[in-house]
Amino acid sequence: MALVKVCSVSDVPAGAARRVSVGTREIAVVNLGDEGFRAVDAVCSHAHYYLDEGQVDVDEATIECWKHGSTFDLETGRPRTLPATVPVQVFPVKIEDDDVMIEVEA
Amino acid sequence: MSDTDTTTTTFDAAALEALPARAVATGGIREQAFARFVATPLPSKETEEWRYTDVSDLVFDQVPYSEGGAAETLDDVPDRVLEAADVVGDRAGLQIQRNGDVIITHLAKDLVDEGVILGDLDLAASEHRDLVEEHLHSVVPIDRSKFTALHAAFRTGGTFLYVPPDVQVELPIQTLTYLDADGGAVFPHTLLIADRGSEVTFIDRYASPDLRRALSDAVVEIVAGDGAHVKYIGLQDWGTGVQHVGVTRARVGRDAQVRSLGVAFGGTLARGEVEIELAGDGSRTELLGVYFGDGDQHIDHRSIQLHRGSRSSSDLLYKGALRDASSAIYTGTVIIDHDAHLCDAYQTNRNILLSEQAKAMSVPNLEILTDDPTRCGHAASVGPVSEDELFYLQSRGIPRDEAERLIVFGFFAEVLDRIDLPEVREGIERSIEAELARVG
Repeated sequence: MALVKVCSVSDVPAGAARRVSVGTREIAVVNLGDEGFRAVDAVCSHAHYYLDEGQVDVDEATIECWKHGSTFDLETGRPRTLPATVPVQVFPVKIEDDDVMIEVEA
Repeated sequence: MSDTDTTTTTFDAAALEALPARAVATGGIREQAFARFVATPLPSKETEEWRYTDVSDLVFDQVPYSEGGAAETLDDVPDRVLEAADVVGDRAGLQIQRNGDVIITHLAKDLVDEGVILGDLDLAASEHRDLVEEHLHSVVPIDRSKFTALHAAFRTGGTFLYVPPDVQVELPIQTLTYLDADGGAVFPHTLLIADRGSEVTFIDRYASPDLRRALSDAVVEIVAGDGAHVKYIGLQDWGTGVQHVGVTRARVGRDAQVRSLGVAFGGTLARGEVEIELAGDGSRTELLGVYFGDGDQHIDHRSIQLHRGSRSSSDLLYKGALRDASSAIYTGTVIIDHDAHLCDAYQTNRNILLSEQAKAMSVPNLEILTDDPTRCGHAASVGPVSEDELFYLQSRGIPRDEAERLIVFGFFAEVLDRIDLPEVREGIERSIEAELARVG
């Protein structure tokens, strides 16, 4: 596993998400405010739409696919509502100073 | 036990009474159906319809209703159910039924706004009473057989799909029916009403783990209004131990079309009846079928292409592969009614045998009651993998197993090439691949 800097804390406002690329992967970095940052696959597991373009629910720690409405648990990646049935991958996040670091397979 | 003796079956009056309270909305039907179930003997091999499938040892002692639960969110849906759903592809709507209960339903908001209804048939019987009462068991009558009577009496859950006039649903809608109640019975029911000029694709998928024993008694009713276009895909992927009997019947209006694909890979016994009533002038249907038998599996397909409307057309293509000691029977009938003029009908059934013990039989029938059909015909074949083709491929350095794989895929390609949903085609290809891997 490798720790990769993907953006700065200030790049992602609280309650928002931003898409970053690590190698060939596209990852959604989500700022849950006081609860910290989370990172999941940016592409919905149901159809090829970007989760970072959807709504973040800070209280529920979920992100909603804007196209078909599936919400994903940002802790586990598991879908909480249909039509998605398959989890998205979750990536460990570390904050070092102003850097958002994601742990990905080397 | 006599055929009409219900004292030793679990499907008795007490079990009917014990069904969940929400399932009584269609109460009138249940009582009529139960009386019919009790009075109707088990199908006998003496009758033409059941001549090739022996159900004389089928005992109705399954648990009539098994709870599936309810889910506010997918957090409440067991992992194994979601895993069975797998990657379903881009869908406008998705419903999951577990055992006797619809546990969760989703339909895209824009379709809800356009008046499309997708939901639990039990709930629809309350919330859309007029629509359900008009159509439920209007296409598949409860007295069609002992199994349809049992179904109508004990069904819980099921899918209700209504598409209003002139609404085009671009993405498919899907239901997964998952059975994990060993020793239980499930009664999947789809009531699909595509109003005039509408368009929809619906996928029914049945899945289960391997079970000791279970009964699936399914009914699919499709009403395609004038000018409507319906695609129906039935994916039967029960585990071993499941005995499946199902009826899919569609009534097709003027200038409407129903295209169906039936895929049967699972179950110990799998009997599927498909009947399309081309009721309106200019109506059309395409019926595709793919099946693969293994072990001692018995697969029984029956089809009826019933032409009542003039200038109606039907084209059926069913292809199956059999290995081990599995057996398949296909019985197809084309009926051109007295008043149906200038109709076009064709049916083809082909079987490939991958072992010496495997058996297949094909029985096509034509009943042409008019004197002016444009075309009406049938073709059938049963045979092993061609040694000439194997020899040819092996002479080019392809190992025998790979050569057989190529030949089987080539055999199915005629059907697969007509499937326009990539994820459905790929799913079938994966299932064929898995079956062939087991051969080796």
